[in-house]
Amino acid sequence: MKKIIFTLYAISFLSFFSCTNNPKSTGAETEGSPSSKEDAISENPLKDVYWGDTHNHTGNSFDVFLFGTPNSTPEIAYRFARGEEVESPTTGQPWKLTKPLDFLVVADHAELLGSIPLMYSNTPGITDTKTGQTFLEIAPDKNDEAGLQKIYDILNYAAFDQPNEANLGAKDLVQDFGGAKVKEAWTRYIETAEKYNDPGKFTTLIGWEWTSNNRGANLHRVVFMPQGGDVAKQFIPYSSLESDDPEDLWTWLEATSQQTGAEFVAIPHNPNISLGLMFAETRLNGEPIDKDYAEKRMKWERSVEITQIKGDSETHPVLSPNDEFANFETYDFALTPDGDRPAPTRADYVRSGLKRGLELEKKIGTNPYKVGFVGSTDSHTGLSAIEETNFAGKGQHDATPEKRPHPTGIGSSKGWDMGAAGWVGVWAESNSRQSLVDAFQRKEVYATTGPRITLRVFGGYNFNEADLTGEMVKNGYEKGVPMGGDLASSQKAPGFLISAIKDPDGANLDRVQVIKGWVKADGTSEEKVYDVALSDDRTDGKVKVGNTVDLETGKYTNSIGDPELKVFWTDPDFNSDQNAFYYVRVLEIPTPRYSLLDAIYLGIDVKETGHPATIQERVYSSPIWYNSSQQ
Amino acid sequence: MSNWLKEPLLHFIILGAVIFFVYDITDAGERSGDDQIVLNDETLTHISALWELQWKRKPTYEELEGLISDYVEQEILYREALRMNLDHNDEIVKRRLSQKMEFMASDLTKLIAPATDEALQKYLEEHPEKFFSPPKYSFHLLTFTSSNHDNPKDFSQSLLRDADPSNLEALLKKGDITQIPTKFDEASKQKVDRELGIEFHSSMNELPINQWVGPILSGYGEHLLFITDKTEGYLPELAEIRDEVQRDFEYDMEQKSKEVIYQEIKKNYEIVINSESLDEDQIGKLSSLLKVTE
Repeated sequence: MKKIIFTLYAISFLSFFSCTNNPKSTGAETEGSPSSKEDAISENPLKDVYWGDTHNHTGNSFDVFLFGTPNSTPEIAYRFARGEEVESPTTGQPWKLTKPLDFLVVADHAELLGSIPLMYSNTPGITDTKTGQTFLEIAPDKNDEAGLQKIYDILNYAAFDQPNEANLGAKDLVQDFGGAKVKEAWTRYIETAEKYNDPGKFTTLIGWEWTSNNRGANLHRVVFMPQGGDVAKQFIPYSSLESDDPEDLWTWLEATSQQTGAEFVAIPHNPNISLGLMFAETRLNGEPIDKDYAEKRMKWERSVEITQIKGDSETHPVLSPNDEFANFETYDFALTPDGDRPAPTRADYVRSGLKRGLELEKKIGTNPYKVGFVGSTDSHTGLSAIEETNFAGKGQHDATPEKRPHPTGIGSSKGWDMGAAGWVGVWAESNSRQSLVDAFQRKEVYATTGPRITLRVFGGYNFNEADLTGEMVKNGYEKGVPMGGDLASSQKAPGFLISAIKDPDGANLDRVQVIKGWVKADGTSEEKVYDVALSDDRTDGKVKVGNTVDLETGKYTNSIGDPELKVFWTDPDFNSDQNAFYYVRVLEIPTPRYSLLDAIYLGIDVKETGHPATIQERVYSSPIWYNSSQQ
Repeated sequence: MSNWLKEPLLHFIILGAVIFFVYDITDAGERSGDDQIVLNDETLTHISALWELQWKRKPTYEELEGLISDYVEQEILYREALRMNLDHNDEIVKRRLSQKMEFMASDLTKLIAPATDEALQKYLEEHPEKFFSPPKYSFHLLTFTSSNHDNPKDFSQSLLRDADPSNLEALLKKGDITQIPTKFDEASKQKVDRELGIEFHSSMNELPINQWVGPILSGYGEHLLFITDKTEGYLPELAEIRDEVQRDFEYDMEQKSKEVIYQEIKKNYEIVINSESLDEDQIGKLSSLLKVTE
């Protein structure tokens, strides 16, 4: 009997190999084809907005796996973002976006990339290492949530060489799980990304997250590139186990870019929990920021993630006391083991960071913080699902309404402290890798907390009211610069063409605001919020738009607000000697926060969620800068 | 479900392979010559192939030396462990073996359902909804919002009533001045949905071409349309979308075959629930969850 079975086995084994040969040859064809596919798609020189998420995690991230979501894969992430219905990796329930996204960056943590799944599949060189054996002793079962959480906690100490009960250090992790050992997971991920890249329809950008958690300060950066697998396979993604200093990351990006031809975009996120380090006056080593630092940072990090599930980083009520809309999705749960909620500093929010950038520029000659704005999810489920009506949570621990009153294991936060945000709108000629990344490089991108509001902003000196009607976009590009651009010195005040159109499947608009920051002769900076367009024929921004949300049903109506707001606005307080930035914030009318919908579902008072019943979703344009010394 | 999944011969081959595999592992301790560890070319090729699978290159001789000495050590300890019956009812061993079976199932998928042209063609025909390319439209669009009109619907209706609907020029500039696009060229469903909302494209399906029609509602307000060209929806040929079909086919096969193989193997086992601590209700629920046959 055994012989017969063996024969059958041998036959099937042979045919297994003969079959795998075929896909290999077609695989070679597909690897070459993306560029030819890209050539075929049409380009719009006046650009279209493409929506995406630059920051999505799957089971290759150690924390996703350890939070108890081993079934989250890049494959599911792409399928979901493309608009397909998938089985949620957290709950097993079917889940689907209201409308597809145009692109996705699966950006798993480079640290120990893919190692935890490999550890549980008895992989030689991983499972049998000191780290592997120690972890398997702590959590022999990959379904044991408490054990996995314990490993996660240990990793947070071990990665930064702090004492931990497993007595592991960064060196152990690199040697046992890091370095070249992530190659297999990296290669597999790249192949999946290549398979799902459909230029013109849905773009996958290859990337990862560098997760520097220096003394609990979130200095994380997402890194991605327009190049394909042939370039990405030439390196192993740089991790914070190599170094947690962003300057070392830039050095690596420079060297790897020269070696392989990769063009990297690095995007820092969560300044709100950076413990005073994201927009600091000093480098991580304590030295003051100099011109060299500023130039390097601006080469690699031209945008910042201003909004995401772990809160909104535009500004804080303490930093912007005169901004009545500043208190929005504030999140201050540090990633330190003590559950600290530190007070905000000027280095922790984007608006104060931009102002500090102007101040530093006055001192050292270059602005180190001249950044555009990106919104993304940082979802740890694989699902880029951040609609208030369709929120899949940050991760396993807040995946359902029932779990959300409880701690998430991330800092001292609870489920409802998470915000259902954000995505990024990209003004690009086509939905292709190169075109999208070029837009990030020139900062022609903007952040949304959820709704896909179409926002055009142009700044220049030769605009007038008539440019708003008819061919505004053509006028904008011909006579000025789009969001993310620079204006040279002028005696004439800059004017701005602004057009905001609501999400056709969402709520009406409340108002358009311009936020200006500038630096004075004494080196200090100021900020001001202008209401430049108001809905419902209001002329005074102090008059509120109203609120139609029914707290019993969670429904709202578009009986207030406007579907479109547009304006030509000139700075009434312009001073040609003062460097300044201008960015646009557009607010929706109030709509239900997901926690209200949860409260209705659970039959509890919305006050128990600890969060407001309704919110005003918003988009933030990348700024346009006025440079008094630029001719 | 596809026919190949119901093919008994294939089941036999798969199960045979699986059984052999398990038999090969569990039976190893009883084989004669068990105190002999043979390093022949077959072993060396196997060791080297495992390495190559992970690193996509052949090991150097130095690396091979290390691999062989690891192999010998593992083999000795493994056989010793079997002799001492350490595998018996050990949680870790159980889990590893069951995971190994799962992995085999996904590898076997490619064996029993290779992505041949025939298979892909069939898959394409069986799932037209996945690959159907919806109609494309070229059209002019007028928008009437509530910001500009007390009653945009009435306003647009009266405009349409008073014009010659077949005359494109008659209404061309009569819409509100907005940044909402006024002209679409061969716009796909993706494009129309993005610009005008997720219901708009399907609401265009029955509209006549070369005349003004409407009003049609969107999230912005009311619209009048003049469609100049419609490319009917169609199911593309396999050659046009082969990569896409193969991607979905392989994904689906893997999902399905894992479950099918498990269910097949499960048929050989009887699950008996014999518990004092569970009440009847709980046992009933558990039985239906595990599909225990009475």
